[in-house]
Order: sequence, then C-alpha cells, then structure tokens
Amino acid sequence: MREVTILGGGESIKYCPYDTKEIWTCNRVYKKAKRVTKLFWMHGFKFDEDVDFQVITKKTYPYKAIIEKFGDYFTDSVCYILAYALYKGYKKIKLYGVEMNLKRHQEERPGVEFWLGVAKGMGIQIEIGEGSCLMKR
Amino acid sequence: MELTILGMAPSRELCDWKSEVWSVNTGYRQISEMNGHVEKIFLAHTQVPDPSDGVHIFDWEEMNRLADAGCEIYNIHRIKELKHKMYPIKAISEKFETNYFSNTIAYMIAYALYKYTKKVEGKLVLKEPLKLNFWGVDMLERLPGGFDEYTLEKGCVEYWVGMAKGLGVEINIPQSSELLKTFNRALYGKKWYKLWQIDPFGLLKGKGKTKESRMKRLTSLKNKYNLDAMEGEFLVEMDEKCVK
Repeated sequence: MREVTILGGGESIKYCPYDTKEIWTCNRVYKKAKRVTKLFWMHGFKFDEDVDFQVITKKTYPYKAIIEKFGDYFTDSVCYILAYALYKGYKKIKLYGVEMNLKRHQEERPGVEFWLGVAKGMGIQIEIGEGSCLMKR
Repeated sequence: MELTILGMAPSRELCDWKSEVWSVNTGYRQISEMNGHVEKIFLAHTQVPDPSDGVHIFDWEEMNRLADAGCEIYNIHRIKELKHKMYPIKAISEKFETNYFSNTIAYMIAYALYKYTKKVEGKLVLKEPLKLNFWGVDMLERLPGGFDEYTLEKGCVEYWVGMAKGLGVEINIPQSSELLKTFNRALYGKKWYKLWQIDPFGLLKGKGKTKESRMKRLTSLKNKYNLDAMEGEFLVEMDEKCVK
C-alpha cells in the first residue's frame, strides 16, 4: 500500500514514527524533521538552499490538473500536500504535527478538514497523530 | 437523486424547490414564508430558550402538525412530546468511522451519505448518482458566547462535504456561502488582493493631493458609479482615513 506521512510544524511532530517511505512537509518544517523526501514551498519566496529532497514550488505544483480533478479550495500548504497525495494515488495518509490549534489556524483548519473528508470519501486511510485538533469539536 | 440541504442563512432565498428539501431546526417557518416545501427536518437539540426573551424556540405541537402531514422529523435526542424518529447516530458513526459532528448540517450530510451509499468489498460507493444542493448554509452566523459558525462549525461541515465529494456526489454551493471558500476567496499562496479589490474607487491614489481635489474626484466617481445611496461625507471620511 502506498503510504505517505505529512508533517506540520506543531510540537506533536515529535510523535511521528517516520515509518513511511515518503515524508512530505512544507515551508521551514524540514528543519525540524528527522527525514524528508519532499518539500512543498508554496509561497512566493525563492528556495535556494542545497537539500537532498525534492522541492515542489508554486511553479512546479500541478495546479491545473489537481484543481480540475478536485476543486480549488486551499487554505494552507497542508491542503496542497493532501491534494497532491490524492492526485498521486496514495492509499494511506498520516499527519503529524498538523495541530491547527492556534487562532491563526481558524481560517486554515476547515480547508484541511475538507481535504481529509475528500480522502475519506475516496476510501483512503487517514491517521492523525496525537496532539492535533483536527476532526475534533 | 437530488437533495436540498436548506439552512437558515440568507442564501436560502436562492433555493429553487425542485428537489426534496431537508431543513434544520425551525427553518420550516422560513420555508412557509417562502412558499416552499420540506420533506425532512433535522434537530440536534432538546428544548432551547431564545437568548433574547427566554421563550422556547421549538414548538413541538407545531412540529407535530408537520409530522402528521408527512414530514419526517429526526432528532439525536428523544423528545417525548414530539413525533419524531431517532437519528441513527450509532449506525452512521460506525459506517463512516467517525463521530465528528459539530452542527446539525453535518448530521444532515452524514444522513444523506448514509442513506445513499453502500459498502462493496469494504469500500463505500454511491447506490445511485447523488446531487446535494446547499442553500442557506452560509456558515457566518454569530453563536452565543462570542463564537461563530465560521470558527467552530465550518470545518466539520466541510469535512462531510469533502467526504461527499470524494464519494462522487455532485455538490452545489451558492457563491454567497462561505462553504469551500477561503476568507479572501483566493487560492492560498497563489495570489493575494489586487489593489482594485481593496480600493475599487481609487481612493488610495488620492494620497498627497488636496482635500478639494479629492472631493472633486469623489464627486466624479459618485456620478460615474451612480452612488446616490452613499453619503458624500462618508466618502470623504473614508478618503481621509486612507490619506492618514
């Protein structure tokens, strides 16, 4: 089964078991992570560091194909990563450090939960690490 | 199959009444004013006093008359005085492996998916093509205690809308609803406000000019865009704030 772990920058990143081949993250979280295979750099700033993993930027992200297939509701970088995982056909998605517990996440959390819903509807297994507010009232 | 999930927010006015209508709480009173129809009503409450006057919101007798007329009423709580069916919360939670319900709309979407999906070899699939219309589900209502739907409930509703989408359900949401929209209606990280979106009348461009010249320009804009309803003083005030 194709599995991927998505890492957010929250404290609960420490619970991540790093037991999937693919470990994807966004922004500067790669500096906190023990291992990363893909970085999503979705802001306008140029990424010019020398790293040993693939970097997906605004220019290389397959916006058109993903939007055509799933819609255009993206409230933060995690949404882009989730959509990318669905687009690439992953069957199990694990989220660690994606806590969404701060006030600034009020606008972001619904989008992440939408994509989790899409994944669930597609029959994809979702595992949310401890310490996350996702899918909790 | 086409269903309308009808909330109580302003975009309910856009409902076309062409499909089966599922309503929420006391939405049937608005439906009556709009000369619409309702086939199911969903509740997730016992009796609730109105915060403004303490009068009970739900009129069980009134709702019983609807039940007698053929409208099915579902509640997650058992109400002795009400002729209703119990919402199958256990079966739905088991089928979808979650008990994430933050409001009644989430229960309604879950019920629609529960009713129109089946498991084939362990995978959920639609029994037949399904379309869900969301009218009046704007997610902008202020809730008691300083909270609002946007903060507390939007994510959960969108989770269930997402699940519907993932199952292949056709989703119809009006532009005036906040559902599946970012706060600035732009893709995250892709684009930001353009100057004309923030300042459609070009007031910011007036910075540094004299008050007289700005007034002249505002008057011309007012005439150009036919802004009779807007007070000139308000425009001047806005303009001065921009200059500051």
